[in-house]
Amino acid sequence: MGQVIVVTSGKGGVGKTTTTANIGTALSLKGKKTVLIDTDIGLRNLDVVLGLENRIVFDIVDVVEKKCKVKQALIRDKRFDGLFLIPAAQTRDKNAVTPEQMKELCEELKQEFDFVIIDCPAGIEQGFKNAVAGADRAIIVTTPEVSAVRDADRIIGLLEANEIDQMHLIINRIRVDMVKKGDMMNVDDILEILGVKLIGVVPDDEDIIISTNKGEPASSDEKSKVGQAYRNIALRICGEEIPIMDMGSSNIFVNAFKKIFSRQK
Amino acid sequence: MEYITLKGTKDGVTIVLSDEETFEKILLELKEKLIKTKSFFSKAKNNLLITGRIMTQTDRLELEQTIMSILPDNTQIDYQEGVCAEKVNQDEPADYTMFFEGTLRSGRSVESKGNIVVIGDVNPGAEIVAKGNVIVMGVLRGTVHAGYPNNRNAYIIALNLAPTQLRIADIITRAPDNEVRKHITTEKAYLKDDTIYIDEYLNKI
Repeated sequence: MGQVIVVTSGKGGVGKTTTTANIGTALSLKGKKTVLIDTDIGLRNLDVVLGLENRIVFDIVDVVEKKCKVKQALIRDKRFDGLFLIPAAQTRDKNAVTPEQMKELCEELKQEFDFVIIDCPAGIEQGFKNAVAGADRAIIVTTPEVSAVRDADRIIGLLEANEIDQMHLIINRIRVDMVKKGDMMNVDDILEILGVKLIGVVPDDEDIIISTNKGEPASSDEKSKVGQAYRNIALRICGEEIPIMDMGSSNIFVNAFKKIFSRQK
Repeated sequence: MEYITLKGTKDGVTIVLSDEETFEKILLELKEKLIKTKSFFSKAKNNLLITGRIMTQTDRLELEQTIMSILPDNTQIDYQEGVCAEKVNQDEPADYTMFFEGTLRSGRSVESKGNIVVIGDVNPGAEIVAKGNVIVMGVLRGTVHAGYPNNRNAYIIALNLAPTQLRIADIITRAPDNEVRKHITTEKAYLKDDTIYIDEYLNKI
């Protein structure tokens, strides 16, 4: 029996889809049978990031409306064995699917896959409710910005209300140089506010823009630093203990200075 | 057995065909009726107006051959199909064309029981579904389904054919991965032996 993990953030543009694609790729490289579900109906992207757009025939709405079998809607990845995608519909909206239907779909997929990873849309409306309905655990993606952290906090509250207890945090797009100068929130600052267990920190890197545009997830690139971060996250999802990459969070001097200055203000 | 009505008008004879019976039966009944009423038709000039039923090109040809085999050569046949245009035959495209002006953007879906002409581009994520043919006067980057659901004679033409996916009747195809297009010309996609072929349509526009 597999696990259903929802990747969510509240705020848009923090990297949910990129995270979903990369974690999915890394898990499949580990030999785990993984299916990714895009629940961003009407604004689908996961298929593009994975480079599978031109293979779409059936989508999630066809599945829940029983126009096709689940197997028919599963798109096999062109590079990685054991990685599959159920795309969102583009010409419909979020109301085309109900939380009950999502639950049913997740239950069915759990029987056959090790991991079911759900790419949640931004916002807290119908799309979010659908995405979390069938989830066993959640991964919250945030960036070191006040607004993203604020939205992540709201999402964590909503996830608790939905009785999803197992929650992990990914801090995306962190810039070591800026953190060291004290210009960017560091990992500890964010963890202090959100109070959720950290599962990974992903550095800001040009590689990810290139790989996303090419439709080739960075986690398949051995040399990529971002790819390494995602591969580590995948290992931690599987339960392995791997130390988090140092992203300047332990810079005691800067923190000490910051504290002194903030007190003086 | 009363699927055909003959009406005399000042311009000639109107033949109303029922659309509730198969075309074969209608043709048979028409043959009988025409033989019975043959003497009624003038030897000088006959104007026939066929209406009441939407017919495909092959149906029309068959009908015309039947009529000409019985009636004298000077018979003129016309069609008027507007009467029940909403009752479209499921298998074949109707003879009308829908025009869409502007860019079809992602998430937009255009469907027609006839043909579709787009004066503009079709972007990725947009979808066109037609029972007949599809012509794009612009760049086709999205998904097009011509001849839906089973008209294998349908075709797709675009000034720049760079689709996400092409579908004709029950056949689906997509561009090969990592394809590099060298020159852009008007191309036509059509179905032959269960395969979608793409040919250059014109050398010069």
